[in-house]
Amino acid sequence: MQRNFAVDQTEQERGQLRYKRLTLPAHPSGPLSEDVHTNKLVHRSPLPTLIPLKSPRMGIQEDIQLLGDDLCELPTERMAVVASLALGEQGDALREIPQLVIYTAGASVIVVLYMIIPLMVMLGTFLPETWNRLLVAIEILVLGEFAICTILMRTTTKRIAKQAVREKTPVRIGDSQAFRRARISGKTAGVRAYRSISMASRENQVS
Amino acid sequence: MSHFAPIMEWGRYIGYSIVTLISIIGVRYLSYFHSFFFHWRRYRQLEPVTTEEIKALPHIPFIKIQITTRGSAGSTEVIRRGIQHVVELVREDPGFYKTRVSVEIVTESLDQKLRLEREFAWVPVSVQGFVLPSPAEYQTPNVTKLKARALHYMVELRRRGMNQKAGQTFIVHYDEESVMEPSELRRLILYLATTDKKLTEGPIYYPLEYRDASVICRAMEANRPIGCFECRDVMESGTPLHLHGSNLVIDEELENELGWDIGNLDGQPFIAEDYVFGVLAYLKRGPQIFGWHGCVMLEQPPFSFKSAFKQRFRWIIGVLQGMEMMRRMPEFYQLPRKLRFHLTWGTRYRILTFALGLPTGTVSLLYLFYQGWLMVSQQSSMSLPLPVMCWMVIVGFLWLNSIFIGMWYNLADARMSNRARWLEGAKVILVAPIAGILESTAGFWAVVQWTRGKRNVTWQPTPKTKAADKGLHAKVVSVPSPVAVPLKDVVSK
Repeated sequence: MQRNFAVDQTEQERGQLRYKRLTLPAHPSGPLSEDVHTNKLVHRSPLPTLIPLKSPRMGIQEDIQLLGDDLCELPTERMAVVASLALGEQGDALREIPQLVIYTAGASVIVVLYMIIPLMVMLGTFLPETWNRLLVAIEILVLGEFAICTILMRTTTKRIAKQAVREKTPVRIGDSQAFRRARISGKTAGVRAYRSISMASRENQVS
Repeated sequence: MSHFAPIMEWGRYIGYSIVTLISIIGVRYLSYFHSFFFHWRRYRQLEPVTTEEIKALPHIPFIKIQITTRGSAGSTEVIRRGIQHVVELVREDPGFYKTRVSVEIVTESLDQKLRLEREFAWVPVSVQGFVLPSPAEYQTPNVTKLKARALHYMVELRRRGMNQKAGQTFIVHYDEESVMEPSELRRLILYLATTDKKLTEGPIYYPLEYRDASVICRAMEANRPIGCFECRDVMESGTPLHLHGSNLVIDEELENELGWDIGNLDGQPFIAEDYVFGVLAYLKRGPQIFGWHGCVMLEQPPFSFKSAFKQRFRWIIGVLQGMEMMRRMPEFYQLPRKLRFHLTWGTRYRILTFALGLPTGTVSLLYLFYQGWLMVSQQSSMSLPLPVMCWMVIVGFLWLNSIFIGMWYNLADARMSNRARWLEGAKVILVAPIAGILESTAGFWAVVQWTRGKRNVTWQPTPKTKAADKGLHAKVVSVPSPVAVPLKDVVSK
């Protein structure tokens, strides 16, 4: 527990850590309750509330002024929407193609080792010729894989992948910088949503 | 030849034991693939659902998305990503969704609560943070600890009428890094509006931050989506052999009734609160409340093997704790004997197959290399009876294809070109045997520790950013200690 660091540590050192039941107040219903939104009723602590200043090792560039008005303007760590994208690296085909060949060969070795060789050994009872065994083993395998791939294709949505390749650019949502830019340029959905709410609230006021 | 006779004899016994081990694991794969081949139509909801279709429904429940976090390093970024996808949905029709969807974050960090609330103050959906008071300030009646304490705190607030909505309400449980795309959320709302099931789950795939994870971790995560087919089976049959805490959707009324106050086991907190909750729900309300919604949640793999090992270790210890608790409950002994057997041995069997992956994977890999060498040198001969050999071939096929299926689903939602996807797939298949063995070491070690009576548990959430992962495992001796400052001082600045 990082919060209440000093208090907890002192009490633990004394070996007198005692639990106090927090009495939760009865609460007014409804989403518009100001107290709910500000969490005033929820966190009613008998102890002083402390915030740790995180060390640089913690991974986030923390600034205590985050609690100020400029919160939304501060950069945050990059996070991708759906996956860490490698679209920018796609152009590097010269580097990727040899990798593709090597890894495909490696994966083929695993498939041969785990599926084709045992099948060939089993088929040895019926088929003495190695090449016949190999062909029959591959045929059986292809049939099995076909059945699996058919089900996989029927249980997968393709929209995301196609959209990503078509767009050619990574879409990053959840990045404060992106939102800041969006507010300035007014091009993204976030801004449209914001404007629609502003308009809706204005209409409400008028009505 | 007489010198080799004893070796051959021993080899035969070792061979038989390996066949037995492979068979134990193989039966589990048969159950997965039974669900895959014969019930795949019930696995996913793929029909596109529009907002208009939802609006046309006579009864639309309220959806509360609850994100439970410790507020540790790196979690704010991933939580933000999850919320942003909810915002994406809401902006499709703000007037409609803002009265139907809300986001609640329960965190141990006040800083995180304030940051997220401020960032999402202008979006058309209610995003509300709740700071979990410290153990000194708040404890549950059964002194529940860790994540279940946070979950029960929310239950207690809701029982007192906090954010109460008219009509039916569902709580959609998210982990820190969970993401549901708007299309999946629409499907989920449609499902919830038309079902009578009160506790449902859906599949989870792991494409987020995919490339930041090590290849071994990526291969380990490829082993998981096939398990979702079994998950569908257990949820539809209503026997909670396992339950995952994210993509878990619970009727608010039911959650308020059951609560998460699961207590402790011999002074040790439960670390698989989801499994324990499932068992308690089953014992109190029966199998008819369980269901499968089939809407996909996206999550991210652990970044390093160390994190992945700890995660797997935690799962096994957590499930073992849950089983022990179940056996101590009087309600358990009121169940029919057959059902008790199914609940206990079904779970034991799952754990056993996880742990046995270590010896089985290691020996079969060595044996397959030997068999391959025999084949290349034209000396191959069938050393096992034909039916046994046939069974071994089937198990090999199922195992490798379980990896292929997991890889497919994980990559299907990753934004990659076809070439990059092929390359990634080849990498995963190549390291799959080693990754499988490494993954099983965690299960094996957990079972060994549990059997030896070492049942102390520690819990550190899996780091959600690469920087946080590095920070956690870095061998830094001199770490500056956190400095605490009172909130009033901060605000006054």
